[in-house]
Amino acid sequence: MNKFTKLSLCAALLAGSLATTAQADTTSTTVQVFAGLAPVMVLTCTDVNFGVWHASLGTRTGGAATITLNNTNQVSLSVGSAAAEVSLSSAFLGPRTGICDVTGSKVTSGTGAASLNAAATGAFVTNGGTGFNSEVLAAPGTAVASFTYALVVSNLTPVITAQGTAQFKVRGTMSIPDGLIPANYGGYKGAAITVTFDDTQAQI
Amino acid sequence: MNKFTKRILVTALLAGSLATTAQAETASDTIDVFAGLKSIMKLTCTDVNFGVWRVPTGVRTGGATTITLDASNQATRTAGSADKVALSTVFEAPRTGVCNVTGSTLTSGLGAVTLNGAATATGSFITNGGTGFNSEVLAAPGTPVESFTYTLNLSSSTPTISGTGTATFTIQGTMSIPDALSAANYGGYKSTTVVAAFEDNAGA
Repeated sequence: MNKFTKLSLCAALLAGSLATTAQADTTSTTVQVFAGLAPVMVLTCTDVNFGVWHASLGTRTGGAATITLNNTNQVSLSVGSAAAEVSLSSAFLGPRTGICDVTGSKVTSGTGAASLNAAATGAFVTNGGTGFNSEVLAAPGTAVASFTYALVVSNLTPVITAQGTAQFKVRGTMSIPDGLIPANYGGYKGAAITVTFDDTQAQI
Repeated sequence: MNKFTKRILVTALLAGSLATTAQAETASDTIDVFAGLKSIMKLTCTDVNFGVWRVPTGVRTGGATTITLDASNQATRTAGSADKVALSTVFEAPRTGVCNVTGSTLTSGLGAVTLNGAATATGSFITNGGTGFNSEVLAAPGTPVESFTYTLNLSSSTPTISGTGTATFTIQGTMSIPDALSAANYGGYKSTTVVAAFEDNAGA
């Protein structure tokens, strides 16, 4: 090997050494991935029933009658017609509030938020004939107009228990219009109302 | 002086000269010593959390549910059953894994990232000891559900290296919540360990 060749070899080795120094650096770490599955929070509500009311035909003293259903299933004639003209029938299922029960919340303290959708206020429509105790109340021949209701929740912020449950009621008022005709007698019902309970308020 | 005497004299002079050359001398120079210390390239990642999902028991319309966790920490249903499947808001919100690289000797160019040595990492969740979800503990499931799977991917497999030798990327992905859960399946889950690796100078 002559001197020139030796020098070339050295240069090549140096070059190789430099290239090795420039190799990529690698670093690593570990990560974990988490996920959880939890029961669905369930809200069940019983239907609201204002009861079956005897109402006189034609024009009544005081006009339309407002019936208030309170938290304890009591109904009262609060506005309008005289009691003699409008009274609760005891032959049918008694008035009752809607009772709403929440289960499965992961929150175990604080309060939730209960609400009703816009359908909580509306007008009754004819009912197919069921929904009043074991007795069937036939649908009216002619549905009366302006037979309205307005529902509210008993508590906008129900307390959530340590077991993740909560309870509230749905109550409200209805207005029996004046000037009824015989064809208006019968069973009525409202549109479906959506009741919502949100337990996230308890995080606050 | 005869010839012999001359020779003796020359020898003596030479000896004297040699004695002079052997006298002590001192020489000095200065040198510098170099060394350097630099931080090693380091990768740190936060864990990935798909969140806690409320899922009903039994067969769901649409079957297994695919949840996608995107780079903006949003977890949404992207396929399969929507049957009462909802994100629980009382636990820690879903989050991507955020990875940060520091200490690269490079100040430009692209790095290369892998998860378990590949572009994506897949696996099945296993039971979690009960932690990992905010301050609340989500107990381990009584019976882990099978086929509760995840696929992780990267926001970028070739993140840019900054002028200060840093880089950032996130780990996101999808998970599949199997159908027909039982109540015993509820609880906290985690993955097996996933290795995230970053290589700088990947093009060298």
